[in-house]
Amino acid sequence: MTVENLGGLAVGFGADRLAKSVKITEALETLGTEASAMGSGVREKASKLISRMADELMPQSMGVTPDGRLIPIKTDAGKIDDFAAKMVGRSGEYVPEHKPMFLAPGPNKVLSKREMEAFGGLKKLEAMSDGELASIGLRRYEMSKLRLESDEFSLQAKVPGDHRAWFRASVSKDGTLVLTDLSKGAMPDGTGAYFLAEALKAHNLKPTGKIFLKNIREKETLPALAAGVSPEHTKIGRCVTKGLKELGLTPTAFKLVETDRGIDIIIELR
Amino acid sequence: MGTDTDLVFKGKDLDLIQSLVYEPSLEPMYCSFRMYLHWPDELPSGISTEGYESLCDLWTARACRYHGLTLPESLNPATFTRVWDRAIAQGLLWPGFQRLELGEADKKYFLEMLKQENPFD
Repeated sequence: MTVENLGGLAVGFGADRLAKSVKITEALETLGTEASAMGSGVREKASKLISRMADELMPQSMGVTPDGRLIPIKTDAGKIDDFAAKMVGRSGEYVPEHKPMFLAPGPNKVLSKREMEAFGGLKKLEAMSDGELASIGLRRYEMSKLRLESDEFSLQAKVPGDHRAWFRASVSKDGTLVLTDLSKGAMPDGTGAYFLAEALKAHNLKPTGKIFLKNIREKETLPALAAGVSPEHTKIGRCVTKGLKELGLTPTAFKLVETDRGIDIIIELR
Repeated sequence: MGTDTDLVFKGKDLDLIQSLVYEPSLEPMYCSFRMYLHWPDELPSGISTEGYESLCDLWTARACRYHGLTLPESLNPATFTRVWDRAIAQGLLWPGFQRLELGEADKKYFLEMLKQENPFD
C-alpha cells in the first residue's frame, strides 16, 4: 500500500513511520493522533485513509476516535468507514427524517400525542390535506434541514435561518457521548427532543452505554433534584429521554454527580 | 499576567481565543442548560473540552455579574466570577468582555428565555 497524499500535509503525519514498516497499530495511532490536531478536511481524509488501511491490514476491525486513538470495534461486515465517520462527526447539510407534527393556532407549539388524540389521532391527521387541517385550525410543521459542523472536540448542529437553535456534543475518551448544549431556538415548543434525536442521527451518533449531560445549572432542574425529584422526571430528563426514544434507546438509570459548577446527569442506556 | 496556574486559557486554546474578532451586530443565543446568553463570535472552532468549560464559566460569570442572572441556591456565583477575574488578569482579548451591558432587545430576549415554561423541549 502506498502512503496517500493528504492534501499536501502528509509530512509529519506519521506517514514516514508507516513507510519504514513499524508496528502497524502504533503507526496508525500516530497518524490518527497527528490528524486529530489538523483541520476538519484533513482529519476527514486522514480518518478515511486510516480506516481503509486498518481494513486492509488488520485481522480485527479497527476504528479511530476523535482524539486519534485506534480502537478495536465489533462489526458485522467490517464497516470501518461508517464507524470512523460516526466518531469524527460530519459537516454539511442534513435533511431530518420526516416526522408528522402539527401546529395549533396560538402558542408556537406542536401538538403532543395526547393533543393529537383530541383531533382523532396521528394517523387521521397525517392523512388530511393541508386544507382539511386548516379547516380545524391546524397546519403541518416540518423541521428545516440542519447544518452540521464538527471540529476536533465537538459535534454541532444548527438550523440555517434560526441562529439560536443549537446542538453541541462531544465524545469523551472512553466513548461516552457528552451533551453540552441543546437549544431549540425559534422552533416550536415540543420539538427540542426531536431536534436532539435528529442532530444525533445526522452525526451518526447512536449513544451506547451512557450519555452525559454536563454542568446543568438550570433554575428548575437543580432545586427539583435537590427536593428529591428523580432526574427522569425533570424537564431536561424528560426531553432527553424523549429524544433517545426517537432513536430506539431506552434509559435504564439516571445518576447524578454534583460539582461546584452544577450537576452532571449520567443516563445509562439499553 | 499571572502565573501559569492562574491562566484561564493556555496553548492552542489561548491562540484561538485571542484570534476572535468582536462583531457587534450579532444577536445572542440562550443556553438552556446553564441560563446565560452567549454570542457566536465568543466561541472559537476547535477549542478543547477544558477550554469550552472555561468559556461556560465566563458566560455564567458575565450573566451573574452584569446581566442580572440569579443562580440556583446550591451554586456559588464566586465559582464563576473568580474565573472571570482571572481572565481579566490574563489580559485576554475575548469579545465577550465587550458585552457587559445588554441592549433592550437582548434584555427582553434573556428575560423571555428565563421565563420559558420548558426551555429544553
